[in-house]
Amino acid sequence: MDAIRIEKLVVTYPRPGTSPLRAVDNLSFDVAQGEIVGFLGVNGAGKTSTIKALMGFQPANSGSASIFGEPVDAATSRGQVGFLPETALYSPFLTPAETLWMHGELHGLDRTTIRERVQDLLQTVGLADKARVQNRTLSKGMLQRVGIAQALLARPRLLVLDEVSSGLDPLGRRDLRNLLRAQRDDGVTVFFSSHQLTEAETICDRILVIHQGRLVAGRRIEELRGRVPSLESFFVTLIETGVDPLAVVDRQVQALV
Amino acid sequence: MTLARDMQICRAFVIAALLETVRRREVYVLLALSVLMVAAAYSFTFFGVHGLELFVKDMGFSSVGLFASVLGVAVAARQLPEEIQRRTIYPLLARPITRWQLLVGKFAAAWITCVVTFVTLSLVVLLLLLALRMPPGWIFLQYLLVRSLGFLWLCGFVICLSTYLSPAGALTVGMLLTLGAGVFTRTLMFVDGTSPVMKVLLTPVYAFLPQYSLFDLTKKMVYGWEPIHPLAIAGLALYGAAIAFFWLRIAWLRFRRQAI
Amino acid sequence: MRHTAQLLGLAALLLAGGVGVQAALPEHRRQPDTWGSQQVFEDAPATSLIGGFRTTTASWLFARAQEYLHGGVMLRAATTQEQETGAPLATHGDELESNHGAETGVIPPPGRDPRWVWGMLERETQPYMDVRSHRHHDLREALPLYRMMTWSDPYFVEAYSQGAYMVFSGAESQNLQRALDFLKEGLHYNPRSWQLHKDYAHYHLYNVRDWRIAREYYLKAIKLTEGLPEDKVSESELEAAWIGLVQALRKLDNRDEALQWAALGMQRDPAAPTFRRIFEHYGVPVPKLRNLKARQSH
Repeated sequence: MDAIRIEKLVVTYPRPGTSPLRAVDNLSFDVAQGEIVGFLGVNGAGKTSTIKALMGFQPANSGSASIFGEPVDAATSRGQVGFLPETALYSPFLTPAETLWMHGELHGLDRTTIRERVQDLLQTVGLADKARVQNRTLSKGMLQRVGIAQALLARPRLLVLDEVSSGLDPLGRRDLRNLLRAQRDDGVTVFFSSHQLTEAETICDRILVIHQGRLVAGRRIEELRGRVPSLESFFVTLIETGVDPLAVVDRQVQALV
Repeated sequence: MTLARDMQICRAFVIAALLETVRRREVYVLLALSVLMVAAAYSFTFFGVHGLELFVKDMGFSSVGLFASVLGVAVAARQLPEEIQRRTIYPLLARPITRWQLLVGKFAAAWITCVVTFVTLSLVVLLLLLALRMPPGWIFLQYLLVRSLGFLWLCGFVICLSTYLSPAGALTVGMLLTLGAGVFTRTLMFVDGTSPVMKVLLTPVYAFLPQYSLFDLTKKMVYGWEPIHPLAIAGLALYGAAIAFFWLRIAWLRFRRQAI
Repeated sequence: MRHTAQLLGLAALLLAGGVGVQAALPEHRRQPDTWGSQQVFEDAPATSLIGGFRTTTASWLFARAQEYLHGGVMLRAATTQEQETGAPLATHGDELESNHGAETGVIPPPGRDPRWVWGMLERETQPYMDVRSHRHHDLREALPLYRMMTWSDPYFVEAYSQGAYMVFSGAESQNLQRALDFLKEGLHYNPRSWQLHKDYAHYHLYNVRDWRIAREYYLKAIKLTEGLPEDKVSESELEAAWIGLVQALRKLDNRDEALQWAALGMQRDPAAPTFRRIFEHYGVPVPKLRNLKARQSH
């Protein structure tokens, strides 16, 4: 069973006086269990809209999305998901420990589990000494760490991260990388959107490139290695020409064979 | 199991809302203002005006009712819009909870916050009045209960408004309809007798219009009336719960498919 | 320390501002029943603000006092339709002739309430009573409010008038003197109020029995009504003042003056028995209305 399955997904936004904007246009892909998949695209490509539809924040106009076989309309589909939004904002008047406690309760964890997980995770993300200060006094990077802790709180089988590394400093990004790898080693599937191509190249098993709401490429990182100078050059060519350079080569090779 | 789960969700939101309200320090300001109102009313004694028992009670409990209602509207109006505005709603909705559970949880948070604030303010005023030898009588307990039931109405109504209007709009309209509810429905009473059709329409219209003033025993307490019949309290509880449910369902109609 | 100094400075500034306004606008202390002060009230924002606050506070206290008297039960003017369809009008049970005009309860009685269960709930949770032949609560409970409302707005004539009545009607001794002192204070601030002069004269005629002061204040009251618009003078109250004046003159045995005012009174109300009795008392034939009119035109 795939961790994520999206089929012919369409998400539109109404625009006054003109036709609706098709942010996600007939998008289909799946993510296998245990993969780390980078979801790449330029600004406005439809990454966040796809993730919103996947998490149930944005109703899809048509098509379907499921998580571990459960349609995303069902709240239970999110029972095995840890989600970290682009900007990690949490109630400014709660402390990181209280924030995690509240999310644990919302997730349906029992009190003993919550207590243990909160202590462990605050330690893991390096916020043990900030556990009792209010979120409003924390820096953006620290809040992002609170976010990471809340995403990992319920030991999810799938992590969905939306542009998470954008708010982190280099050290924070390194820690995040290590954390994601550790999660993958534990069998957790990771699906994340990003602008940071180097980041994606380093940690992903596979990349999906979305442009103008459509999936324009889906490649394993090994396929790219040695065939393109870098992920960045692959990405830029793809977006500027609208053609997957490797697909062209593959077709030429096929023709020769 | 479902009920236990619902309770757990509500508990999470309630504790968060209470902590937030305390840390915003709004309650302290209202507490200070309530004490100030009683003190100001009583201060006339020092200028030779005696027999102020009614006036002090009136000022004290009227202030508490007003402050608690204002805070109630503010708390209820910000429950959802603020989460959306500061984008903290994403991690909340990413949990295995339905939007209806989120709505009810937020409603419970607003309601409990209102009740706790109101009871705290009332107890402080009660202590002051006892110190001034102006006990309000046993109807005080009914006053606490009935007003708490009224917050069901208030929170449901304002949360419903907040799903259809902007935060500022919900706050303004909520404040106007809550505090001016009495005037509004009194005016409506004048249509009685204008035509038989209006008379027939009046009861259902009246039932769904703001009836916050029905949940206020301040006057009966201040003027020393007897406690009210328990059946009336049961009726108010039923009405409060039913109308809160009604408003929440209206809110849900909008919120269930709302893009966030 | 610095913050305390700032706060004290701010307080001093506010105080100085208040004194400044007081000094710069002495007109706002003028009596409100003169056109000059009315002009100032309307033109000067500061005066209007201060005056507005004071009158609003006093009016609020006045409304509160009415509620206190009725134990929280609220009354309102009955609509014409309500009067025609027999809505229960408020009447004070202790003085049957003393009703509330055409007032009815804000909360309608069961038979006239279309709201079904909501009406029942309101009658249970809010102070409700059958307003017909009701009784007032202890007047002393409302008394402090009259003191406060006249402090807030010393030009609030109705507050002095009703407040004095409240004091006088209280159960304590020496209430008459306190009521008169209260009225005297009202007269100090409102020397052109015909109503307060009339009230002061009433107490002297019927309670103090000082006919001389009664005569003096009745005359002033009647004099003050001259030139006032009709809606500023209640016809029944003016007639009461007229009757009081004639009675005071009779008590003083001031025959000519009494007859003169009685004749004038009969022009106003030929059916009033008091004026007729004055003529009978002095053995003078009651003048015919035609003669009175002729005298009036002369």
